[in-house]
Amino acid sequence: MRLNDVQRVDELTSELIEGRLSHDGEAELDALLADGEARRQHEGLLAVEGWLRAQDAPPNVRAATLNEIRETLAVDVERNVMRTIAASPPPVWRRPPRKPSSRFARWLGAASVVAGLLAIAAILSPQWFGGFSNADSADNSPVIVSSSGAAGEVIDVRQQVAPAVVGRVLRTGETLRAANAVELRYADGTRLWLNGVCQLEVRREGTPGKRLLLRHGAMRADVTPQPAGKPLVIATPHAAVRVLGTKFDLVASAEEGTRLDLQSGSVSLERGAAAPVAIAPGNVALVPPDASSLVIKPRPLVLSQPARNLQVANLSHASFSRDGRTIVGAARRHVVYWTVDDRQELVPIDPPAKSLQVRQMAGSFVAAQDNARNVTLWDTEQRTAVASLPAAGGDVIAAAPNGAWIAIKTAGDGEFKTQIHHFATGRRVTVQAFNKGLSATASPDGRWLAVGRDGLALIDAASGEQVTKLKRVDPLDGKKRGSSAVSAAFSSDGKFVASGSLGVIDVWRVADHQHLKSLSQPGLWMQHVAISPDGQRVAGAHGDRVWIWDLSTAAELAVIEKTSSVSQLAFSPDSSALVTVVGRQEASVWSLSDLPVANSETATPSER
Amino acid sequence: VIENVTLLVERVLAGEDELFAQVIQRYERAVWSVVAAMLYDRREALDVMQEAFVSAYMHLDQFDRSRDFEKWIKQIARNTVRKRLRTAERQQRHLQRYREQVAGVNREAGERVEERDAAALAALADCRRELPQRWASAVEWRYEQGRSFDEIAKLLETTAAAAEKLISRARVRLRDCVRTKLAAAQLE
Repeated sequence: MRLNDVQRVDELTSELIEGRLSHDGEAELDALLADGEARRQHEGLLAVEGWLRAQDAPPNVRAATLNEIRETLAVDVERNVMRTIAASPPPVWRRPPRKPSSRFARWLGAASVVAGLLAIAAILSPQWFGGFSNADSADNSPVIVSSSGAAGEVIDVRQQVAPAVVGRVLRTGETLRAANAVELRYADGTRLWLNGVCQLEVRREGTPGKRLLLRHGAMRADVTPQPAGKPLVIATPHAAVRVLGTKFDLVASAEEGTRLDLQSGSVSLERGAAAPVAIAPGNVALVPPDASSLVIKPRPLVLSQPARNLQVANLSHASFSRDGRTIVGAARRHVVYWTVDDRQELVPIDPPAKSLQVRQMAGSFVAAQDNARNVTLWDTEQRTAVASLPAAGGDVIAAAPNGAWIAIKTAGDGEFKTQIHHFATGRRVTVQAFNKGLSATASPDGRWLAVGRDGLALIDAASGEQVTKLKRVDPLDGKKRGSSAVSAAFSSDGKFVASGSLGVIDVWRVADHQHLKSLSQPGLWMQHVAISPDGQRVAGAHGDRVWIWDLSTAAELAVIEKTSSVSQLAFSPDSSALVTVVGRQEASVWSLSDLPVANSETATPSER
Repeated sequence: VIENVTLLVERVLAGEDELFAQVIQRYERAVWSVVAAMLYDRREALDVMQEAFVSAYMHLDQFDRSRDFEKWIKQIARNTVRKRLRTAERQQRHLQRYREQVAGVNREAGERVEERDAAALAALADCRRELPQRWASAVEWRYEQGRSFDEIAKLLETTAAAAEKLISRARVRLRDCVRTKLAAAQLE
């Protein structure tokens, strides 16, 4: 192994440890680890990291600084475990209580029976005992049972903030601010999944039963049949859902209002002074932010079976050829061609290099790099290398679909820099406007580089200067705001550009920088985005799901549900199909020809 | 305080649930050493530690009283971490890879891992003493005080990126030093 490779393995492993290894970095590390010595280097570093971490003591047994003492008070493992044990059903080994042996104990037993009878009488005859409230009972307090990463925080009735940890019981008056996907469970088996960034309060008021307020965010509920007269009520700032037992998704956002997607059972939806409306399964109910109306429409189509499933190891990118007849993929050192009859052809990218990795795919070009950061620009139509750049000094983060240039992110002295290298002239320009971007993409004509960070910066690829930063108008205060865009894409005619950020995909017209639409999935990072060539549809992906919207109406047309994470999206040239890359080994082609045509005249159901 | 853990377990099983708090106090450190090494996020490590103790309580009747309780509860902690890693896979693919590899290091249960770890930890302690003062301080702040890179940067009067780089270099130096010491010990 070369000295450079040793240093590179250490560098990439450190990025991995600190949680900032990029997708490309991961691929590069994979390639380097084929060497046994590199793997030993890498594992040695991970072991040191593990040992160093294990030296650290839990906050409960160590309180070195004032902050940590505070943390110790807030996160008390012992207290949380004991509370969870108390709230859990008894384990199978729990023995029945011992029989009373003494005379006093016998008396105590008799007294307990009397107390029990009185309690039953109290439930049956509330008027004798000044009313009975079960609002505070354990049955109505959900427990956090799992989370992906840090769950977030809980604000108690005294406004004290503590980390939300597994086992934490949410009492009446407490608010959970979820930072990641969190699962809550009630003692009766009712399960709630908060889907990312959410705020949920456990409420008391109203009739008996479980009470929640979803201030914002998205949740899925699987509600065990509730006792008669004690429905689960989940309110949002715009409406309330009354449930006796069913499955549904509920979303609340300041921009979109409330959205209820009912999968089974039946719920009633209340909105201000309007009469409750029963929602039937298979429907979506929408209440706008001002709660002025209720629209019920069929659920978007759920696509779960792709038209074609194409498999090859190490697949990182896929798109349609210009004529739409071939699917072209990139798998490490190869370009893969799948014909209409699913025949597969693997063509090695030349010049060959063991460590070669495809970094970007744009138009008919792929940009590949080896360990020495030598760049090859390969034309998938001509099946040959058309340009090269030796020792680029950084990773390729974007490539112009016309093959004119590539953008490279370089690191040095702890600073990141983005440069655009123009192949025709050999000129390299440094992008002035930013040094760290979360996403980058090029316009089809190569005129623009769009970089997502605080908004979407449009950069003139010729000069490297930022022309504008695209932001959207916040409907709450009318101010322009930019969000951290983690994905970005131009339409194939270059007229539109979209960015994906937390809970929303924003679409702008490039010519006048006009913000056109916000397509929302509250609480979910839109990790990948694509605009159809006909400019009518937008696809966005988070985890194992892809949503397809109609751009003119912002209506959600379909949801694609996969079992593995989606890592790339591309529409066919005629917009009738979408290809998704899943799990680094599969390209799935989805036919969109059966999607409903969104109608701006959405049917308003009768509330009568 | 009940000194004998077997007696403590017997009494919890007999219905004195509150005594389980003593079990937690006694084995908190041991469980932490397993989960903190296997998980990246400190808060997540705390979550998993709690989950492991709850799981231990639920399966307390399955504890073979002829065995070492610490090894039993550490095994539960390892299993809990592995379960968490499986569920977190989709969300945090990059971190997942790190965790899986560290989990691989910890995969074999029981004495072998602990013996090997003991030798490595002793070597690591020696190597830390050999680090330049500035590096040693940074490692201490990062791993013993759980400070952020921003905080460490302030203490070192440098940038957060430079502090991160310094710790990264220290880690490489420690690895090479531990490797040399372990190889030398094998030759002896």
